[in-house]
Amino acid sequence: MKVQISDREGRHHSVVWEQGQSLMEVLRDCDMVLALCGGNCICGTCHVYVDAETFARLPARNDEELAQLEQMKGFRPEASRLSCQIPFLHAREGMSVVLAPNE
Amino acid sequence: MANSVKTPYPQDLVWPAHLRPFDPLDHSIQADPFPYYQWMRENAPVLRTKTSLGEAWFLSRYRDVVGVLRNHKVFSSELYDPKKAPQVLFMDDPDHMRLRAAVAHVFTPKAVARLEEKIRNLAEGYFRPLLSSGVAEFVESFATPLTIDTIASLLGLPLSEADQFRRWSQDWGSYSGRLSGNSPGSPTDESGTMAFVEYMAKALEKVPAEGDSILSSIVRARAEGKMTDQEAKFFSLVLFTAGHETTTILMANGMIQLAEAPHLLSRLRDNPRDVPAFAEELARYKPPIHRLRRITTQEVEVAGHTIPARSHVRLLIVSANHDPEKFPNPEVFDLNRDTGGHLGYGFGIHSCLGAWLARLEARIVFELVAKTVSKIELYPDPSSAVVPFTGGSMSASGPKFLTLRLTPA
Repeated sequence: MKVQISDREGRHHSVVWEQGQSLMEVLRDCDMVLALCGGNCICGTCHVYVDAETFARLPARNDEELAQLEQMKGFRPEASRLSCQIPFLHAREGMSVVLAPNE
Repeated sequence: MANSVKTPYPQDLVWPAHLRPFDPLDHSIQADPFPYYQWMRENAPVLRTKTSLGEAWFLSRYRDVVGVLRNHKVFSSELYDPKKAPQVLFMDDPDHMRLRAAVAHVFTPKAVARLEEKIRNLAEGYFRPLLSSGVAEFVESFATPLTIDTIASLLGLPLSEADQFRRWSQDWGSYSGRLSGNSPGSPTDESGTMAFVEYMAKALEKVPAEGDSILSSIVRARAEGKMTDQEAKFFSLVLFTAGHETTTILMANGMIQLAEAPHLLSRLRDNPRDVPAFAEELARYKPPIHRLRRITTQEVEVAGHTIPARSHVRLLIVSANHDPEKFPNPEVFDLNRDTGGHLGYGFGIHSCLGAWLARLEARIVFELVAKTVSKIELYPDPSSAVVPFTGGSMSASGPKFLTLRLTPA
């Protein structure tokens, strides 16, 4: 499965998402996010914006994810997700992901 | 905030016959804190202590410990003025994040995977003489040199000074434990730490900025103004000590586990794919660090207890890992268990930076042990009994010396 990533410099990458990985793990393996808390929904370093179609298909953000995102300057209610909270189950061929700015 | 529950001190409670009132500075309790933590979790999940170092609040239930680790704004890591000895474990964001971000790329699962062959060669080299002699001390002759060589090579330090590194690491553990109000320290803690810092300062002058070692990353971050000179020296030192002491204890705890439960060794020999599950359950069951420290930035309520601002809070992660509310039948070492959410590598923004390196080292060692050893026994001679680790920051728990009898496969 391949997903389209735009990095913080605006460059585009087509990246393989393997079964069993969260989206954060995909991005961490490409050295694109730090994922400092290891996927505990706390640090906000794996913050991404997903395309509208993907956003609509994903399960809603839980309280912990939303609380973390709302603290972030780059929060966009209609697109922001913590990539550690997106398992392979929700991967979709060609979906597009934009890395949020580092904070 | 209403103080609905009066928080007991150890002397307010009736402790069972096999335990004394809990004393956080007691070395014999540090040697085997498990029965204390179990009793506290069931009978006094929030406990206050008063020692010569001051007061502290001990939390022993999973949900309370995780609640604190999630709430890093109220439960600060800044236990002392970071200018005195800037240490990333005792810094809050954004400073903590700034330092950590400079080296995080070296510790991702993918980055550490590149070290596998090198670590395996080192492990085989150190293990061969143990196996051929049959009876061997595991900590000093195997786990310590292996983990020191690994982190030293990752940092870009020479391997020839391992003994000195080990002594300095112990001094640093005592020194930072003293500064953070967790331990009384030791006579050589400050002088040893300062010698270690100076050593790191010289090492940082020697490494090339364009290299791929951790020290090179730190030199670059310093040159870019992302780290002060003082932070660079202490960060190098912290990464070094964190990179070997805890992993050494994890390996030694694993050998004890395999000695006490021989069926686990057979299972790992027959199913080497279970080794990662063994290493993960080990980090749940007997993590090398048994307590973490925080300080409150404001008055806060935990499980009905009101903790005032500027209170020292101790998080008993070993106890949380044995909380049946989170891990059913917690006293069973179970390779099929879902260990998700265990706190052996911490939790939250300060969770162990080197966790993937530790997992890799543990996997390599226990794969090697499962392949080459058919039986592990604790050496029965009382003069070679297991010596527990005591002192330091009072936060580590595990063997300091461990003599084993190994039967080759």
